[in-house]
Amino acid sequence: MTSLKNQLAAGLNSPICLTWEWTYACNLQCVHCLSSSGRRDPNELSTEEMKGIVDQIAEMQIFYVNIGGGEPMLRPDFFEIMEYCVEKGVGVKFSTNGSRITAESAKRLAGMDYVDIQISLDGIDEATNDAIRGDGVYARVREAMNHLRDANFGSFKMSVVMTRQNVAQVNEYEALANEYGAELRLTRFRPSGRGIDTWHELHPTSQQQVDLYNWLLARPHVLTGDSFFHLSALGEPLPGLNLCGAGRVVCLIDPVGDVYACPFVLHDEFKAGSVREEGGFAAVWRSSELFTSLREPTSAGACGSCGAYDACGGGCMATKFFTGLPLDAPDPECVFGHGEEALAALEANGGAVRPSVSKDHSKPIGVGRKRIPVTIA
Amino acid sequence: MEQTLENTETESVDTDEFGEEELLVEEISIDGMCGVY
Amino acid sequence: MTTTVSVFDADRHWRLHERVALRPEPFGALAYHYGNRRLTFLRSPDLVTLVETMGDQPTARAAFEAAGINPKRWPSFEKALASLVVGQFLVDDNHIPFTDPARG
Repeated sequence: MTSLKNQLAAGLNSPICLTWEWTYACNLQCVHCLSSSGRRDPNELSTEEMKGIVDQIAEMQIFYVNIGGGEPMLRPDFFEIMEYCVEKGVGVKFSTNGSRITAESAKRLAGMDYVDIQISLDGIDEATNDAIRGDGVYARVREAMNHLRDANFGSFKMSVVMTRQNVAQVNEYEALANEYGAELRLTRFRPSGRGIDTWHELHPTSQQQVDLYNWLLARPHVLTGDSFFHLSALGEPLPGLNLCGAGRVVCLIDPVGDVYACPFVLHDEFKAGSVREEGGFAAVWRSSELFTSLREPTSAGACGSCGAYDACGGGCMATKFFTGLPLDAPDPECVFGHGEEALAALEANGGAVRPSVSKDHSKPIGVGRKRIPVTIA
Repeated sequence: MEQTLENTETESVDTDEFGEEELLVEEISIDGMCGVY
Repeated sequence: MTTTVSVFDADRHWRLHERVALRPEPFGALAYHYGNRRLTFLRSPDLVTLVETMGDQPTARAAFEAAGINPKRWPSFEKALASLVVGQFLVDDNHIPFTDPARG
């Protein structure tokens, strides 16, 4: 019997974890935004198109969708489509910056079955959080969480992207989540979207990553979205599939209907097709060239001689791609430093060519958008 | 370690060569898959 | 991931929880529980058949026999069924069906 991991790597009839970004519009301009969101795309899927995709999702027996953006609650038809999902038996888990969670919308969401919420927060206080997510955001998120609590929404997730400046706050995140009866989720900062520029200064140091690994290992109840599987090379694997699921177990549909291998590779290189083409989403998932090739066995490449390859699988494709490393190179954050060596070698040979964002919906700098912070006061 | 990716669709042998029981049910946290949310 | 497996009572009537969805896959099936958000891989087509027909038979043992599975494989199947009970994918007649407010 082949291992489950191998079977999943070969692909599934339908994705398990489908991320669907509902809009590129966003009222925030977080410095690390993986989708480079800000301005709504003029070609955004219409309400009817959105419902058509929900129909396809239900037909493919996809159990639930992970909704995001941009800020999904900015879509005027947000609740209409949510209710349509519930009606069709598709579970909804959506991620929000919390700015549109009011007492009223919290009550409305609390009354809906199948709906799970994740709120983003990147610092335990105003100074840390707002440096990433913008002025006043910390206060707004606390308000949103209060509204959910007051509306008896039940458990929600609080999701934090680990940066150099907030890793030290993990115990405080746990305490805050406990205060609300919420689940804590910590995820890896990848050099995707606006992160392409900010990653090099903001990603955790290697020591911080080791500390984080040990902290997570002792707390299996803390969610990670399998985003730290590269750290499993340090020893006992972290809970989760420990596998790059791009095009195999996961994929993403963007606000204009384009399908990408995963949320962290919103780039033409990893675009599999469009749901607007004949055959819709099913055709792209089942027979696109990109996904077919991702489902073929990969070689270990530069990691072939490393004893830890089985544990980490060479790491995250997106992280390699956006730092300019080839896909068979070690992960830039390889726990043994092989990624750093590879990057240094690139620099020595004339510099890494970093891909830039294929579709940048960011608002211009100055319109509520900060430059990256150098120090936190 | 060699990785074989042939799917043994029709094979449902429940004991491996050592006669041990196979794991027919495996649970994975839905959060255990790489995605944003 | 290890689950504590309790003793499975094969001589009572079991069925799939009403909030579980099964989706066929090359290796067997995926089962998702909309109530507790658990996701399980059923890694044998025979197990899938067994689980799907479980409710139609008076007992789990009868369902196993009716499914025509080699009796020697019972220990593995028993362990699998016990895991499914732990995850609430399989329920017995003491289970009260959940009424879904979203569906009225």
